[in-house]
This record gives sequence, structure tokens and C-alpha cells, in this order.
Amino acid sequence: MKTAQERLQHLTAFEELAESTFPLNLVSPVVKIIVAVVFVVLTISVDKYDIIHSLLLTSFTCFLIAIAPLKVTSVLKMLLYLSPFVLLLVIFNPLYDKSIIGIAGYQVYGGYVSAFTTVLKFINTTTVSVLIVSSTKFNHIASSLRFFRMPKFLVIQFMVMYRFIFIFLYDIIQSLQAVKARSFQGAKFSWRNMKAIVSTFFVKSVLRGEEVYNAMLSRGFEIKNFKMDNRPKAGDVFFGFCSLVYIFIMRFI
Amino acid sequence: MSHHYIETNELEYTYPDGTKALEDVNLYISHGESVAILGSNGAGKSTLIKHLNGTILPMKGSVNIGGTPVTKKTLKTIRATVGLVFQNTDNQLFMPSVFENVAFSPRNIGIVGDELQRVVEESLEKVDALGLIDKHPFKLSGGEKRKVCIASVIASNPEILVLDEPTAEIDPKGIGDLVSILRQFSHTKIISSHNLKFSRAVCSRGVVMQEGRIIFDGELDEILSSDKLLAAAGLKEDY
Repeated sequence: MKTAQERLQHLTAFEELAESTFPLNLVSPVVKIIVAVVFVVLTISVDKYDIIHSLLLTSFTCFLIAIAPLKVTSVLKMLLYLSPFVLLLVIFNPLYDKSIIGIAGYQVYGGYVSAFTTVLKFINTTTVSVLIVSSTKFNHIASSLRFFRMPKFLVIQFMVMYRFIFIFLYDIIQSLQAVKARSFQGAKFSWRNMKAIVSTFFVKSVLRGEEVYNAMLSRGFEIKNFKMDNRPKAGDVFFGFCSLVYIFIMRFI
Repeated sequence: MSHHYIETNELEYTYPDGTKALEDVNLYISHGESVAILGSNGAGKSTLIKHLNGTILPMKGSVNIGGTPVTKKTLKTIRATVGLVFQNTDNQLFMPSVFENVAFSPRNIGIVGDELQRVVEESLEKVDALGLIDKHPFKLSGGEKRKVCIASVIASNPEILVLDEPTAEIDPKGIGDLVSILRQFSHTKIISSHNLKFSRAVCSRGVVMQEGRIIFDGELDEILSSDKLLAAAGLKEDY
């Protein structure tokens, strides 16, 4: 049986990647978010029969994979998990779309082409988003939200909530293990136990919330005084500019 | 620095469920003193400690820090003077990384950029935890969490350091490290603890509490040599 620690270790895998020193990790999250959003919008805007531009935009995804901390195998595994959803979407394209289009002198059904470009769009947008997240620490993502004028109290809520997810998951896993260890009903699921655990967590969350708020106040917390660093540096701006120019060329060439 | 004394006068506190946590607590701690607050569970140690930086406000009586009474109006000044390290480290490490946790206090007083980086690194260096700067709090051991908690409090440079059960969840080596760290801190230290060896290593004065009252205030060695006091405090040296 996996320990609570081991299970949580698995959950923090992204956090570990974000702590590494790959080139993409060093870029400002503000720049990464802007580049990712522009890339996603331009990728989606490609015509459903336009294979060339979809393939050209894939080159940017390959470039990001090369400078990001996530391994190609991990990216493929993640795409495999998500693929049923997109495959369900495109599987009927060849049946409904019977139009004939010409590609490199060959006549092909538009349904097959649109299915292919949709899969490419899915691969590109999902991979880029995951690479950006895996190369950025959560607190950096949160503080960059301030750059986009998100209210400060919401950003601080996000940061505290993110930390709390781990604390609560740890509590939940430990409680479930304790229940299992003292259960004489084998692997049977008991709603009675679950009700008790859930109600305990509600009470715990209130107490923890109060303690955390006290700890914040003790350290002089006042929302108006809390400042965050999120200004991109010259190198970040250069990376963002080059990336955007490349994406636009690949999209509109 | 002598103006940063701590004084409580006839302090009383009753929890909403009717439990009387403090009763007629009179205490004077001058600047630079290291005081251990001892007592069994439920003796009122944590409640007293929470009064010192205004986490709990007095119901009756008063608390003065360097002549400033602890009231709602003075909380900002009081909290800048008194740094409180809570018993539960998880509740104190509420930000997603060690850096963000230590930076929380300085940010609240307007420090940003390179200056913030310097303050955070210096604070972590003082507690010998600079290597943890980029870690997620979840991945820290009990001792490491305690070090980061202390760094996060000393980052705002308080004149008085108050620690609630600092040896909880720490192994003997971690306790040894904590003793060295606290010995470096030259300002006033107030420590609530069950651990007598630890208290003796850091403090010279001891205050024994029982059922919300102070039953002894004097040399720590005197407490340790008196079986009667040890029994009253619910303490045993060997455990």
C-alpha cells in the first residue's frame, strides 16, 4: 500500500519540474502566459482544412518541448490520457464532411483533413499549456495574475488555497488510511465512516482557516500593503517578442 | 533597547465555552531576557503567548509591550515588535513556497525586488535553511518547517521572539539545531515548552503555569531541582 507521503509526492511532481533550471523555467510567467494565450488563439484560428499552417505551428510546440522540463514521453502519456475526448469529437468528421479538397495535387475528403487538423490543434494547445504550467511555480503564476490586473485579494486567496490543497489532501489520505487500518470489514466502503470524515474536515477547515488568518495577521498582513514582484526583465521581453514574431510568421506565412 | 519590556497586569481570559484559560496573570519580562513558560497541557501557556502579540485581546487586565498597551488600535505596532511562531507549522507556512512564506512579512512592510530577496536570504541563512528557499513547504521535515517558520518571523526583524511549543514534531538533532539558532537571537525570547532540557539550554528564567495561574516565577534551575514544582507543572525531566 502506498503511503500518504508517496501519494502526495506524485501530486507534487509538477512542483518539482517548476523548481528545475530549464530555459523555459527562467522566463517570466507573465511573458509565458502572453505567448501561450496568443499561440492558442492563433492555433484555433487556423482553417479546418489548412494542414500546412497547423504543421508549421507544431514547430513552436517542438521548440518549447526542447527547452521545457517535461520529458517527451510524459507529454505523450498525458496526450494519450486526454485523447479519448478529442477522438470522440473528430471520429465522425469523415462521415459528416464529404467535401472533396485538393492537397498537393491529390483529391481527399475534407472530413479526414479536418479531423487531422483538429487533432493537431489539440496536441499543440494542450502541450503548450502543460509545458507552461510545468515550468512555472504556482506562486509565480499567481503573482503574474496581478500583472493582468486581477484583484489582489483573489490572487492571495489562490496562493493560500493552493497550499491548503496539499494540507487537506494529506489530512484526507491519512484519515482514510487510519479508517482502513482499523476497519474489520475488509475493503468494503462505508458511508457511515465517510460521513464522519467529511464532517470532521468541515470543522477542521474552519479551525485551520482561523489559525492561518491569525498567522497572517501576526506577520503584519494588510491587503493594501502586500506587494508582488511581477515585472518581466529585458531577457523575458526578448524571448516573448521573438516567440510572438515566430508564431505570427508560422501562422500567416 | 530597554524600552521593549513585556508586562501583563491582572490578565484574565475565558474561552467562549466557559473554560477559564487565564486568571490574574501578572508578569514582567525585561528586554533581552529568555523566559520559558512551563506547564502541562491546558495550563494556559498558549493563551498567554497569544496575548503577547494581540492574536487574543485581554478580556480583563492589560498587556503592555514597551509601554504600548495591546489594543485593536495598536496591533500594527505590537505585531511589528513581537514575532510569534505558532505551534502548528503547517498553519504558519500558508504560502506555496519557502521563499514566499519568508517574504510574506517583509512584503507587508513594503519591501520588494532585490531588497526582498536579500532579506529572505539573510533570514534563511540565520536559521541555516538557505538551501530550502525554492522548496514547497509540503516537502520539508518537521525541523525544516520549524526553521522556516522562525525565518519567516525574524524576516521582519522583531524585537521580541515568542515561540509556542517549538520542539513539537522535531527530532533530537533538530532540537539541537533550534537551540543554536535561538541562542544567536539576542533580543527577548519567550518560549512555551514541555521540553525541560531544551528550555534550560535556551532560557535562564522559568514561569510555571497551572490552571491559568502563574504558580512560580524564578530561576529555571530552581524549578528543575524542585519535585513539588515539577509535579505541579506536570513535567518530568527525563521525558
